[in-house]
Amino acid sequence: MRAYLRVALFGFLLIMVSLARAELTIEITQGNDKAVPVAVVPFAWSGQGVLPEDIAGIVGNDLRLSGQFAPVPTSQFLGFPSKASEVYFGDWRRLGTSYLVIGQVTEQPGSRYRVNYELFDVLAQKSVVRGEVSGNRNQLRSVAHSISDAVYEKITGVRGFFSTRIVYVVANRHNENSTDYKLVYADMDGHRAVPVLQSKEPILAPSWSPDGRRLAYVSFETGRPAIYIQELATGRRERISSFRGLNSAPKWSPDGQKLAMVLSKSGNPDIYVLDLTTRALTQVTRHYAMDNEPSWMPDGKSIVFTSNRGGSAQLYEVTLATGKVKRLTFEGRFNARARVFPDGKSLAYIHKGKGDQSYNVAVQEIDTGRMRLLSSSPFEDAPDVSPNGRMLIYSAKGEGKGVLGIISADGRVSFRLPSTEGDVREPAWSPFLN
Amino acid sequence: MKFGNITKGFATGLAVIWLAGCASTGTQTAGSGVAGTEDSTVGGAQTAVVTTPLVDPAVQAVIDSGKVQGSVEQIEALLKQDTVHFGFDSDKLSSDDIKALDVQAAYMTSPAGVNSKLVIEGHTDERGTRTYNLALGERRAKAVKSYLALKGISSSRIEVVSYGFEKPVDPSHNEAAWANNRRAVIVPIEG
Repeated sequence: MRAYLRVALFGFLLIMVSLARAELTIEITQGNDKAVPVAVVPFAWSGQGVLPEDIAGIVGNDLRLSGQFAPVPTSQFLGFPSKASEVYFGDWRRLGTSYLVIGQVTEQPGSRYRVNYELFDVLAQKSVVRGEVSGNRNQLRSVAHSISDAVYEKITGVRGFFSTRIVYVVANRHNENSTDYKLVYADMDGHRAVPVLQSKEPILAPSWSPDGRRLAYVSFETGRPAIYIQELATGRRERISSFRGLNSAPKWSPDGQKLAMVLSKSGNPDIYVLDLTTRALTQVTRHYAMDNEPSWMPDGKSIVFTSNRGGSAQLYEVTLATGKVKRLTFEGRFNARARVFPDGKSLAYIHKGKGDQSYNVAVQEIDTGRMRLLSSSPFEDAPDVSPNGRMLIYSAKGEGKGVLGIISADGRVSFRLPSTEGDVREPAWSPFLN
Repeated sequence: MKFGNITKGFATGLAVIWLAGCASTGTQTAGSGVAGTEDSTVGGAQTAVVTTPLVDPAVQAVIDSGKVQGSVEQIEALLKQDTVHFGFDSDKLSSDDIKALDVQAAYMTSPAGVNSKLVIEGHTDERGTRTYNLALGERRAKAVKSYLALKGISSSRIEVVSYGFEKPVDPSHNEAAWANNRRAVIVPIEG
């Protein structure tokens, strides 16, 4: 349960995925000793010069990041097949690998690349899936991630998350009165990071639209917190809420038509829902306590939120049709900032136990109320769930600069995405984008 | 510290008065911030002189209000206190901070301060979630605003903004830093 204790057992492995500045690099903080061994053979390259991306390397890292697979080191390989006819299953069985991925990259006219891949079940000695993907130089990472998605889904039966994106905020504090903030868009493995908003004032609480095309977030650019919606492709943005007081914690409804948010315009923080088409604003909670941090259930009929109405911050669920409120958490002194899993059966949130000093990511089954702590750095925040429900992203700090952590929902594997510059926080995981 | 209005009041308190022959202590209303002028025709030649009040006119205004007790030094220190601090996850004002707010309210209701306006910034420490703390910071700023309202300051003169833990005084991760960061800061609005 406590990642740091396990680190001592499993040891640190450091994968430098990239040395590019501003990008996040993945460090494994806890591995899974039950991961399925898979061999990803470097793809054969037929073209001019050097292949710009290591497709097999990216696929191997993706599979490792899922926590369910352990790529076999290439140094152990007995051969480097790139075609089905070159595969000797005996070689791979001897390595103890369960699956084998091979492929070829062929340069096409117009700086395009065609990538063929094939997945084999080593024990059954048969081809499981093969495919062809193509793209230009800048799309090669996307090509690799789509191969990872296909391999992962074929083996696990669960849709892969390797082509999804994340957004997060990077803050560079120069002194008490000067900090630069960036809202950054990147691949879920931290690569291809692009700032989509830069400001001298705080940016926080980004939320993806369900179609993955827009973000809602809080920006202090006017000196006051206001909620904006930004279209990622064009950068076009609109200030959607700037009432007196708090305009905070926007969260898109599952159907993309509404935005839940926190406003304190009537005196204290309550949950509101804004209809994005009609611009009608509905007050959902009405309580003198602080109601905060809304997250929709997948059916869009109720909202989970944080409230200190019981004396400490706990999670509640309000049914929109009736306004009826039900308490969901009872353990500990602080349970906040919930995100509902895509299947609607579990919650991820930040938990502090009675007598604890640290704030940690926890997962709770809604039906049983059973709660499990996933990680253990001192100050964790902003948990969000991958669209396939298998991984969580969150922020962690307290040991230097703020970093992002990724952990499997079962707690078996965890990673860090440290930044080469600034404090990283406020991650949000995109929906499926293709 | 950030009390621009005090220094400004002080500057205009440098009274230029005309007098002739005899010494004068000046007749300007202490703390009014308006130079008192007096035209004497006794004698012939006149010369410009300058008096400087020993007491900050804003402090004098608080003393004149009769609403708070204390020495000039105590009142000056309380009036200059632009920050109040809070306990963990709390928006309760301490008795020491209430003294400072009483002085602030006495100034704001005095003739010298009757046009002053404030922004109260609410801040938190880094513990808990960022969005929870944004709401908590607002609670703290509103606790200050509510107290000043009790003392007769119209809510239209006080604006509240929360920064949560976005703007720590001390970004370190320890008790001392947290105690410093859990604060509301009173910022006079210029003009």
